[in-house]
Amino acid sequence: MISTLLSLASKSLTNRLLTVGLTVFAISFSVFLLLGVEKIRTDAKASFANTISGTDLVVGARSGSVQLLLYSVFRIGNATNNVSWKNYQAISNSKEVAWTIPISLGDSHRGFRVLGTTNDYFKHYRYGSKKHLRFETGNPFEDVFDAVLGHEVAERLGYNLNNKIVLSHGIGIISGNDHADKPFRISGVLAKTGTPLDRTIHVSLKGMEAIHIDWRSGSPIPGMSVSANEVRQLELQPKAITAFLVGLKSKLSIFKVQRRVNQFRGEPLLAILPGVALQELWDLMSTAEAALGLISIFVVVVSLLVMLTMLFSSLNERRREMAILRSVGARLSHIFFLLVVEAGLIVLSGILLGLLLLYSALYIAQPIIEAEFGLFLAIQTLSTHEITILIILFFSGLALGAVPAYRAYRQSLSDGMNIHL
Amino acid sequence: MINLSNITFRWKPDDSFALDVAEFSVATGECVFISGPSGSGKSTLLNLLGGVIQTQHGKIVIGETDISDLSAPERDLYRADHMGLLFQMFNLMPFLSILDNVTLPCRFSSKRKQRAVKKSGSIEAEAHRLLRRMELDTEEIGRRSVNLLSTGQQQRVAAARALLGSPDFVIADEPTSALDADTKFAFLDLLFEEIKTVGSTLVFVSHDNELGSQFDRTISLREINRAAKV
Repeated sequence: MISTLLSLASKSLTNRLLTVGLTVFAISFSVFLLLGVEKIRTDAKASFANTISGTDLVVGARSGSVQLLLYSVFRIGNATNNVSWKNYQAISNSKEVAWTIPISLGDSHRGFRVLGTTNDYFKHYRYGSKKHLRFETGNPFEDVFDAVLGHEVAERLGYNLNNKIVLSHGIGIISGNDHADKPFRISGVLAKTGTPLDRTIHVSLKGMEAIHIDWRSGSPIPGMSVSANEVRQLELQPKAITAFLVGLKSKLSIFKVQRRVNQFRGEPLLAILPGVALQELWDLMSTAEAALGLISIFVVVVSLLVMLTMLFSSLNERRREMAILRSVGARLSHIFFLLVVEAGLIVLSGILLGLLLLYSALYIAQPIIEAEFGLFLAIQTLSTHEITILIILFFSGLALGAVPAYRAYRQSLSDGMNIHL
Repeated sequence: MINLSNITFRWKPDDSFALDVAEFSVATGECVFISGPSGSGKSTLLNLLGGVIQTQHGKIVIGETDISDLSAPERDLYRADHMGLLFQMFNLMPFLSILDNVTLPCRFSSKRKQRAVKKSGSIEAEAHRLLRRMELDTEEIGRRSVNLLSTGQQQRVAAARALLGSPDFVIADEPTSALDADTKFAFLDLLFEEIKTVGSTLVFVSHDNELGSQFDRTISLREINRAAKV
């Protein structure tokens, strides 16, 4: 009997292709929106959370913890102040500290941020599930003027090993304000990580210091020019860095070290736990996130109401259909379930079409979103969470279908086999 | 056979009786013409016979079953198994093909299905046979939409459906009223012919008394329905 009702319902629906099609479209767009928002939300979280792992503390000049996290790890925004080299040394020599990675920001190359660091970066930095950085080609820094490119930088700018690049001062591309006298050689390209690292150009701290040796306050000192070869002879010890990442010998000492850094007498410093700061970032965004989620739920509700309207408005013109079905032996319950099955089929088609829309959109937009926003949207099978959402949607559709179904039932009960024209 | 005794029915508790019949019988294999203008309780009688509504009083025995004793789903199944129904017009589901329309009763009754298969080997074969008997070229129109048929053709398709699976009773409600004089009698001839070969009992309701002469017996609904308003 189920198959009879299914076949009758699907034939009746295809007979009303326009109204049914529009309803299915409305539902599919709502599914698309609902899952799309969910997808971006979870993938953005995952992508942020994947960017850094295995680092116990991030230390920078005293500011907000979210701000420190954003500029030191995600290359978003700028530091308000620096950390002096002396104090960096003092902290990294503490007995609890296993390793540190200095980070020096401020320059750029064709829109990509440049990060000054040491080879410890490639040794200790970890992302995702504690994965180490891997070189696709080449090696870490060997010379003062060596640069290691993130995967996307090399790909988008079409750079190869041993190409020479010129860094610009600041983050804008201002012509003339660059370090053309001291080009960098590409010594290596990192494998893809799916994190902001892919869009970063890494240079050695010494190189960073070298290109600024004849600069002061953001511009070249007039009449002073030190060539690339001369600069190698100089002591290239930076006086300050932007921030540094800390790995500890034991997790147990995290809070002790954090407290010590925060109470450091030499200069105002801030130490944060990346996970905690990330959580603060989520809390910051949770209102917007909730609003977006709420809107997409409302859109789903509206689309289901569209279906309800469509089913209700069709009932009157279908009284004849119901009377014929009754005359060939259909029970009242069959009439009821016929309408429920129709609602189910509409919602199911809406869900399937919505998924098709979602995956096509993901397929098309994935490279664009990754390039523009650095957000990697994984094209994968539905998560259990998403499946749960869809199942809830399907059963809500069925439950709503029961309303016009009951109306049809009542109608059929009073009509009997009398055919109303 | 069909036997109604002392039945009364009203649609709503406050209404007056729509039907009040002391005694009415149709013998097995008989073709009975019931003449009744609108308002004579015609649709009430058909709905009662079909088991769609239930009498508030009295007995309706159809075959060996007192359908006034059955529950609503039981009456629905009884109708599906034993009755072929035929209406004035718009008998067909607009979104089903002609063949699907004819085989529709088999979807609700396994008995009808068995009898159709027994007769012609398969439901489709029996549908084809009946459509041919109704002088419709099934090869040409079988898969076509019913909307393309003339009214006369539609009524013949509906008759084929009512006869599919050899039901014991065929109940017709003015099936010829939308047809012109020539096709009317041709349609009746086809219907009679097939009903006689199957051995079904026919109850045919119409206000077109001209047709009455073709039947075994003619009854005026006004005479048997004490609640008739006309």
